[in-house]
Amino acid sequence: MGKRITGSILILALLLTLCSCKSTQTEMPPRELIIGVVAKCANTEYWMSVRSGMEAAAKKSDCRVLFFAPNSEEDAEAQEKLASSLIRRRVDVLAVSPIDAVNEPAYLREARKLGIPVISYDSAFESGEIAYIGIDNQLAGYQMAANLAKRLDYQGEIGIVSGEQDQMCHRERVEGIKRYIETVPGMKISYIESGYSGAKMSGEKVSELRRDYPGVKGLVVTSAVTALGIIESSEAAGLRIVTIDVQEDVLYALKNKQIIGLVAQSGYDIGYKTINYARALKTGQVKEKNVIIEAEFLTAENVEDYLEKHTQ
Amino acid sequence: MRSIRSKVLVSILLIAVITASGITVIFYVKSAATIEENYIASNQQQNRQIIESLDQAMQEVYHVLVEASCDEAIKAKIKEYTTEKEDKTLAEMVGLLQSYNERDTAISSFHLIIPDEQVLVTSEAYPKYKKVIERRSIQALIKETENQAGPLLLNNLISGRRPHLAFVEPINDNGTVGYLCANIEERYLYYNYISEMRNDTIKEVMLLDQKNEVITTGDDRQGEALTKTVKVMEGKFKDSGAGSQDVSIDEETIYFYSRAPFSRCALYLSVDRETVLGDLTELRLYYAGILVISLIVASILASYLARLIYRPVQNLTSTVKHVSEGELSTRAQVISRDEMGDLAAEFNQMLNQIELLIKELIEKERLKKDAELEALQYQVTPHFMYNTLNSIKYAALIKGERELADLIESFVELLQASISKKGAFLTVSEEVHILQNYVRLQEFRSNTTIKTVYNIEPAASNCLIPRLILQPIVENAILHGIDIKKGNGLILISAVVSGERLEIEIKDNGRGMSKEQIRTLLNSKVKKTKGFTAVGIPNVRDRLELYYGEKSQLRYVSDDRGTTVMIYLPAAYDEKE
Repeated sequence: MGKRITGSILILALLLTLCSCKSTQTEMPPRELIIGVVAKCANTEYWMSVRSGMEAAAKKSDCRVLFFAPNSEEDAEAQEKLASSLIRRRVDVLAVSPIDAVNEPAYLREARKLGIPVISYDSAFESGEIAYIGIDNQLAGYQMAANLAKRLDYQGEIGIVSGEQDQMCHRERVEGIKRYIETVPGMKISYIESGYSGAKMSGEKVSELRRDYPGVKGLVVTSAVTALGIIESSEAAGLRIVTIDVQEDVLYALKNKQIIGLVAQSGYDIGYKTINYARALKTGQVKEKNVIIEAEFLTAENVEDYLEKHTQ
Repeated sequence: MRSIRSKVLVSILLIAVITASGITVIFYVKSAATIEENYIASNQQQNRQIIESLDQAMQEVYHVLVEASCDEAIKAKIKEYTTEKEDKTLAEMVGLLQSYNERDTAISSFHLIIPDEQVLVTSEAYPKYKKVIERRSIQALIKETENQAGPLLLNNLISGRRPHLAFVEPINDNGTVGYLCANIEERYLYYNYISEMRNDTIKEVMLLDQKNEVITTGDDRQGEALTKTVKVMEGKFKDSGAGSQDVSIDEETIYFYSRAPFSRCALYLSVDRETVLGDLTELRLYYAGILVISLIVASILASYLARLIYRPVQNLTSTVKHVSEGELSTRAQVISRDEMGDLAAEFNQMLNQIELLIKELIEKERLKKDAELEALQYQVTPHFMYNTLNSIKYAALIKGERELADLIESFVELLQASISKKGAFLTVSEEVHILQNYVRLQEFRSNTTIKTVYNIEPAASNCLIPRLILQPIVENAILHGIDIKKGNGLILISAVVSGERLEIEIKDNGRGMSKEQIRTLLNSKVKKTKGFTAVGIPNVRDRLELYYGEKSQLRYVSDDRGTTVMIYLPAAYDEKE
């Protein structure tokens, strides 16, 4: 009996000791997904918020984002080089906001060759073959035109200041504006000034346009940065301006009624959903080819509510 | 280990030793694992930070390089030089490259190669440009970097010094017109990312490029030693890709490996496990101290508990010993209320019972002795009387008084039987002989004839019965039963063995006894009687009870035709029975 008890105690002690001897081989987490991102630009508030959204989503889903962007939204060559470099680095997914949406860049061919999925965000490719995550830009243009028309009592001339027409987002916004204005008999588009993708329009240029088109009472600007440049100019006084993109100074301008309307395209949301989409693509969980994000239309009346909702 | 106390002590100590040792071992092993895990986690964190910082720097370098490679001014200068081939243009290119060089401290220099012209322009102070670069070297560079994402270890085209890390980007202007290299010095990488990691615990530390070529190391190892280390690393982390972080542990070493997601540079280091677990030496002593203290405390407690448990046992053992030595009055002390306490109380109760039984036994024995002594006390027949009576008997024979001589002989025999010391038991035939002598003497005394019939079975004649058990009954029959004067007195004495029982019957034809008389006779106390042997019926009754208890019976049946006395007792042929 005594021997049996002693034996049992010894076996128990041995088991306890063995149980405590955990293997020292450390288990490593699986390799994280690397998502290469090429933006149009990195140093405006909109693109910074896109990046923030991407980093937040990546942190949440254990992804790694390699974020690159040329210095300006016009530098298509640099963007292609950066995208090519990421393809050569065999990223798991490449997300691009193409500066040149018309010509098929070399990196798309390289990506196809290597089997690397490519998605577009913020701005689509013209071909429509590549998945797109962002707002409906044509709808945004339509909304901007409709709101401007309403403020002008559906009468008179308007002008459009847009980004490069090689960029689908700007092209589609312009198309949306045109589509609406065509429905209003008392209104017409007097001019379309392109090439202002995130660039500010000079005071001289504003002055020139006011002089050349004195009947223009409203302006649709397809980039918030450009719109900010215009309202800074004294020549813009009296012009009713609507624009797009959520950024702090534009919201401030809206509150101060320097602009009359804004399509609240949230860079953060686009960035966040792009990474989620990329991850879903890699894990085979994508349900729809494109992800269209809704964008509210803000005016001085509802901007406070929007801010309250999004700063909680 | 015969003592319960030592068994209890050893058991408690054994349990304490096993438990304390087990817990100590578990804690030690857990602590060692925790220290190692913490070290690994901390190192991984540090490595991750280093590799991320390096990767960030590489991204910035690459960004500047891409920007420069797209610079229209540089493209224009290349075009200009290709057309005019003036050194002035090259000097202007140097200025442009230097402005980009200043953008990032990680970039040690920019090299612009114009393959068609075999010219290399630098951002360095000297040489600013080199005009005759071997076409072969340029082709080798192009081949090496084509379709490769940098940074790569490349040979310096100017000095031919040891390879340095560089990104290469083509400059496109209606075709590739040049190649721009952003160079990063090995010393920059060493001082910014490796030197801080050199400490006593780290055995090897290396920074490698994407092809696992060593960029820089934490020591001076070169050649085969370095190749061997790289092979070890490749063997251990062959499945680890870009952006991965891995750890491998063998008996002696912990290997850390981190590969950057963008530059795909790898940081590899190995650490001596013994050094990592150096802190455990102190911990080991600490645990040993705790173990020893625990064991001392356990010993003291075990001793106290063993004493506590053993005290009632010892008390009981001591009591049993005293009792076994004859001290029946000793009682165990009831110390506790547990099973041992119950045992002590029950033991005491048992002793009380034994003592009572012994007292009763002694009392019975005393009474038996008293009865025997009483029977003997009154048989004062000194030896002198035998001799004298024998002399008288022989004198009577000489004078021809045969009858008188027989009477005297009967008397002598009766006396001898009554005072004999031969034992407490006689056979039935011996008792009958005594009866015959007695009856003869009574006949002589009363000058009459008492008819006595003996009907003794042969099986019964050898049965042992207590001495003088029948005589008082016959005496009672003669003195109080039959009427001697009438001369028709009859006494029938029979003895049979029925089974294991001896049945003796003494029957007379006397006047009989009333029931009251019988009850009085049977229940009266032993006292001196006036009979021959001074042994009365109560004495017979008591002796039967003392010798045989309930196995014996003395019964009186009487009516006006006489009295029958029945004695039943076990048929015994040996006194031991």
